[in-house]
Parts: sequence; C-alpha cells; structure tokens
Amino acid sequence: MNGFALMTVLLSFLACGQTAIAQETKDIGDVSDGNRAQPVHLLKLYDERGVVIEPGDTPVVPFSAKQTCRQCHDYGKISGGWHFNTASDSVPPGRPGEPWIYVNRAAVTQIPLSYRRWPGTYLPAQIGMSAFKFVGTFGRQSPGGGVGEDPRFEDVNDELRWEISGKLEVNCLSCHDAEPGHNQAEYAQQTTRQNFRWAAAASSGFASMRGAARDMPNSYDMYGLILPEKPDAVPPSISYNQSRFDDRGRVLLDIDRRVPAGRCYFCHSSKVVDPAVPDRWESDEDVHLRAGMTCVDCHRNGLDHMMIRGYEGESNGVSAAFSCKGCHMETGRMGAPRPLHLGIPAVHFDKLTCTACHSGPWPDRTTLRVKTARAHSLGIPNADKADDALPQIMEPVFAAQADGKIAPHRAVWPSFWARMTGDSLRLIQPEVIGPFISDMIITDTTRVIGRWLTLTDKDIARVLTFLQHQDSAAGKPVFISGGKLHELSSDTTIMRRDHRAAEPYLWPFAHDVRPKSRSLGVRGCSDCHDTDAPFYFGNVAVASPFVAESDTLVRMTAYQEGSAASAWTFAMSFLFRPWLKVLIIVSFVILAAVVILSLFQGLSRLIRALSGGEE
Amino acid sequence: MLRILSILALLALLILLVLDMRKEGLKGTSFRGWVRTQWDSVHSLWESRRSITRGNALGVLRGLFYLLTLGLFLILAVTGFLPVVMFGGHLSGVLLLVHVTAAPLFALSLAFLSLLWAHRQRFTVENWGTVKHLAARGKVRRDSLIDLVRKLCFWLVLFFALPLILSIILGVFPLFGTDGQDNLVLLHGLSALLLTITAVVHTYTLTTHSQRRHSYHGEHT
Repeated sequence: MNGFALMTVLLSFLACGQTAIAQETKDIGDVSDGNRAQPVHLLKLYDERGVVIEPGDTPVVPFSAKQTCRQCHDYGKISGGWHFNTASDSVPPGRPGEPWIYVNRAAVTQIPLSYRRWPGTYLPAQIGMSAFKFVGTFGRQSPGGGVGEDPRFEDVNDELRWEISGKLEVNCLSCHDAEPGHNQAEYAQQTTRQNFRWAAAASSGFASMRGAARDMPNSYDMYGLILPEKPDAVPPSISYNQSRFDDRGRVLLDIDRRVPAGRCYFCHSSKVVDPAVPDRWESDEDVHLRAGMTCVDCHRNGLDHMMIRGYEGESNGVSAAFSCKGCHMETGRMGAPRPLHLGIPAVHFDKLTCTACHSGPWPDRTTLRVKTARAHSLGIPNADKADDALPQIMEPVFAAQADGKIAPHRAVWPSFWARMTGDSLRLIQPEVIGPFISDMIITDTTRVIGRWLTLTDKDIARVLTFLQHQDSAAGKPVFISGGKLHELSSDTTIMRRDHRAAEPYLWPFAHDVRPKSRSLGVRGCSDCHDTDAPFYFGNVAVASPFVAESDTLVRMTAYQEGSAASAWTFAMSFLFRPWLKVLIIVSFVILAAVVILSLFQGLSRLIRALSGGEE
Repeated sequence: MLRILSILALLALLILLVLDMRKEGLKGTSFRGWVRTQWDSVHSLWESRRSITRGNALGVLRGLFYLLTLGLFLILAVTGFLPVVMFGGHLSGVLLLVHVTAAPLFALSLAFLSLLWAHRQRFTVENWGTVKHLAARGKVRRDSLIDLVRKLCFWLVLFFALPLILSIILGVFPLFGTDGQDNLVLLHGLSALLLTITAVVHTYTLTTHSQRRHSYHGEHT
C-alpha cells in the first residue's frame, strides 16, 4: 500500500471514529440514564485549541472550560442560554431586567446598557464602547460567552487585543464548580486585566495567575518570546497545582448540577442601604433559601440553559409551573404552601404581582438605595463599600409593568451628555467630556466633592457651551440627568424640561422574598390604602448631581396607571369603610328580617288555607 | 362565566322588553310619549317632597325611597356591570370607588324600602286566583298578571339582595381565602344579575301599567 492510500484509510478511520465519539460523548453528558447520583468529573483538561494539557507542559497554558466540557456536553446548545445570549438577535429580550450600568464619575455619567435592547437602555456602542471594552468592564460578573466570544462583535480596532487576551468563553465553572477554593473574584480580576482566556483557569482553585494581558503590546504572543515593552509589566502566565493531576493527567473537578446559591450570589447579590437594617447580620435572607432551597430549585434549566426567570407570563408549560403562582397556587411543588389570602379581595391578584407584597424591603416614605453585585462590583477586592457609591439605584418603586400589574422595581436615573437633533439623541462619549468637567470642578477648591461631582446650573451651562463650540453642526448639546433634559437657553442659563430619555430605567425584582408575616397587607388594608401609605404615596428619590435638586422626589403614583388624586380618594374611602360596613350589616339584618317574617306569614296563611277553615 | 352570562341575560332581557313594548304599541312617537310620561312621574314624585304633611308623609316617603333606591341601583348596575361586561375583569379604580360608596347607601335604602312597601306588596287572594288561572292555562287579565309579576319581582329583588349583600359582608372580613373570595365575587355577580333582571322587570311593569292608566284615563298617575 502506498503512502497516499495509507493516509486516506487512516483519515477515514479517524473521521468515523470522531463521529462515533461525538455521538457517544453527547450521550455521556447530556442524556441522563436516570441515575440521580452526582457524576464524578475526573477529567483531562483541554486548552482553547482543544489540545490536552499535561502536567509539566511548557509553556503552561490555561485550560479552556469550553474545550474541556464540550468533550461530553453540547457547548453550542448550552452557550445559547439566557446567561450567554444577550446579543443574540433571535432571542426575544423578555421582561426588562437588570442592565449593566456604566459609570464615569468625571463625566457625571451613569447609563444603563444592554445588548437586549430593553426600552430605556442603550447599546454599548452608543457610548463608543466596543465589545472588547464591554467584556473588560463587565465581564467581571458574567460567566463568559456572548459578546466575549462572538466574532460578530469584534471591532477591527480591537483585533490584536482580542488575540492577546483571548476570548471570554463560557466558563462552566462560574456556576457549576462546588469546590470551596473556586474564586469568582479572581475571575473578575482577570477579566479587568483582560486575561480573558486565563480567567476560568485562574478562578478554578488549583491554578495561580500572574500578569496582565492589558499591559502587553499589540505584538505580544503568549507562545512567542516577545517581551513587554514596559519593564515592570508582567506577561500573563499561569501555573497549576501539580498535586491535583492524577497519574493519568486528570483533574477532579467538583462539578455540581444543583448550583449552590453562593455561585449565583456572586453576580446576583444586592445590598439595600436601609437604616433599619444597618448590618448584614440583622437582615433575613430570602425565605426560600432560609427554608433550605437554592436558587436553581426554581430557576431551573435544561441543557439549553434557558433558565426559568420565574415571572408570570414568561411562557407557558414548565416555566409557568415554577413561577410564584405556579408552585404556591397551582402545583404545590416542593411542598410550597398554598396561601389563604384571607379577606384579600380577588382584584388584588389582577392588579398586583406576588412580589408587590412579598418581595424586597418593607417600603418606607422614600425609596432606599440599593447596591447590586453587577452594578457595584460587589464581592470583588477593592469594591467601593460606601453606601452612596455610584451608580445610584433606588428600590422599591411600585410601578406598573407592561401587563399592567404593579410590581416592585429598581430604578436608575440616566445621567449623560448628548447631542439632540429633532427629538433624537446621540450620546457623547463620556471620555470626551470627563476631562473638561474634572478640570472645571477641581480648580474650584471651595466645592465639596461627593459621590457625584455636584454641578450647578452654571457648570452645566459651561459644559454645554463648550460642547456647542466644539461642533456646532453636530446637534444641540443637552444634558440628561435628574429626570430632566437640560439645554442652553442663553450662554449662561439653562432650561429644564421633561424628556423620555430622562425617565428612569425600571426593572422588576423579586428577591429577597419575605414570609407571610412580613408581607404588605398583614397589618390590614392600611398597609397600602392609607392616605400616606408608601405603596402609593411614597417618594422615589431622584439620583441627581445637582446642588439645588439633590433631594428631588417623585410620587410613586407617577409610575402607576392611576393618578395620585384617584389613589388618594380611594385611600380616603377607607376612613369610612368601618362605618359603611356597619351600615351594610344593619341593612342586611333588616332585609333578612323582612323577607323571613314575610315568608313565615305566607307559611301561616298556607297552613290556615290548608286547614279548610277549621279553627 | 359571569361575563358571558351577563351579556346573554341582559341581551335577552332587552329583547323581551322591546318585544313587549312593541306588542303594547310603544314605538316611535308613542315610545317618546312613554319616556316623557315616566320622566313626569319621576318629577312629580320628586316634587311631592314639597307637599309633605303628617297625613301623607309615609306615602311621599315611599315614593322618594323608591326613587332613591332606583337611582342607586342604576349607579351600581352601571359601575358593576360595565367592567365585567366590557372588559371581563374585576372592578377597580374610580368605578370601584363609586360602587363601594353607593353600595351601602343602596342596601340601607332597600332596607327602608322593604319596610315601607312589604305590606303593600304582600300576595292576596286575587293573586292566588291569577296563579290558579295561569296553572289551568286560563285567560288572565293583563292588570292581574302585571300585579302578580310586580309583586313577585318585588320579593325576588329583596330575596336576591340577601346573597348580594352577604357575599360582600363575608368578603371584607378575613374569613375566606383566594378561592373563597373568587366564589364570593361570583355569587355577588350572579345575585346582582338576577336582582338586575327582576328590578328591571319590576320597574317595567310599573311604568307600562302607569302608561296604560295614563292612556286609559288621559291623566298622569
């Protein structure tokens, strides 16, 4: 047999073998045989090229969760899940959710971003943020995938940087690693250093990471010998704990199908700045977790990782069965108690979500600030622990959803500079405006600089004038902030007006869920139907950088379907309700007496008639 | 269910009334005359409060309470059925506010009305005779039939008012859960529907009868 024929036979054999393996491996990971025991994941590690990593390899390359896990699992299907499909055009965005909030204090900017195009959010590209920068900024609290590895989002200008940093592939370990040493904060730090391809391995608990791709020149090659230009810059490098490899080069990954709540919490924690609950030890966790459940008991998913978000109307079938209503009112799954809701008129269930009464902090006269993991980098070393750290998010805002039901929401007030043509806005890149504002503010030594760079009308006018002179043909410069659009009325004065772009971006939240004994309505109708009940008449604080308007408040009813006047009138009627109840009971007794008495009289006549006239 | 039932029942009632009106010759100009007569009757009842004396006080009160109850009933029927029939949902907002404010007044007014009218609306030997004639498929004078139907409607209104009011009294106390509340609302709606039908028929018999008398005697009754 000549060499060519031998090669052909060999390739055919390999191709058949590959197909058979692909078929077989799919069965290993993705199709259950019914055994409920947790499979042991003693695995060989693969790098991003799909090459097996052996202990002692040089250079040491980071393992790729994508390549390692795809040996047995359908990565293509998994990577289409909710956590990774933000930029997919084929996935409906669903109910508005928490956006990524870009903050640039120097530019007095906080702006909700999302690739899902939820109304009120902006695409990162609208503020000049490329996918590469987006991943470097927000990849810290994402499990990778999506724009982190989708070539459609690669900007030509970032091509070399992507080569150096690698892709931020889906990191299965972000959620499924039950190893105590798994360090998601390390993952976050690696993403900010642009060590995308190293991030999963670095956080795994059996690897150690040094250096930053961010500091490497465009010519850097991790497999080559080109050294960084800066002498103090350390090239990214990783080393493994060799004792974790067995004699066949396999590593035990402590994979948990039932993801622990702690893994979810890294990206989905929140801290309410509540004077009534100043410390963590004073707060209660979600009642479900207290009862021993974990997040994924309700937020389940199949292989496609389209996790059940759990809101009413999400879809029918399985998702509906795991909403509040699904478990508590219909299926009773997992022992969910069926609430009695004694004395609560049925109209409440048409008008309110379950979360309106059962979720979030107990409402007060004014909304509270809340810090979320994704907005405030919670859990990451050097995160700003101050209660008033930017961005400023408020909760609970009892606002009507698209389906008309009132639900508790979080709110962020956008603050940014833009150019306006007609009624449409084109955002100005914060980096352009930041230095000008910083110079202007810092030269004023009398000013107290808080979390916001506080601005006066004069400051805003100066910035707007600067922008106007910069490019007078590009559209009228405006400043969106504090719920208003600001524009120049003369060189030194500004004019404020309402604009839809200035309205807060609201997204509903559901956790922490409070138990029945701490739900709205437990003390009676007045919890919501009092003339000063926060549910209707609470104030939504407007986060604002203005000196004069820093305490601007908006009435809660502004976000509900009815007017404040009708809500107040309705609440007023509750003052008379006890009397009306008495009135109606008295009337009922009189009516019942008349009817019963007449019935008896009729009966008496009938008896007399039937007696045939005998006395 | 209540929405469909309400639509069907109210439509059927409307058709029956129109048919009966046509049978009675109430169409075109005579219908407008009938409306005018009713308005005049209401107006004269309202004006009778000015001429109240010790002797006719009860009679005037009877008329005024009837008017008051009818007015409140109309408010409740409109605010109650409008959201159910039009939108298929629960009452809420301004309509609910008006409904819950008018409801206790209606209940009280109806209670007084029952006290003032119960004796006059008791069934008599003549009514029993009409029933026997009807049972024997005999011919019955329209006046007798109207009198019987009117009294029957009066007592049915009082009877249906009991579950109507009770379902609300029970609903405002923490006694029933979600399912119970739903059932109470359904009971309230069904009672209201039946009460509406009987009240409309009662009013219709009263007005057509007065029209007939008006046309017979050529004067307002």
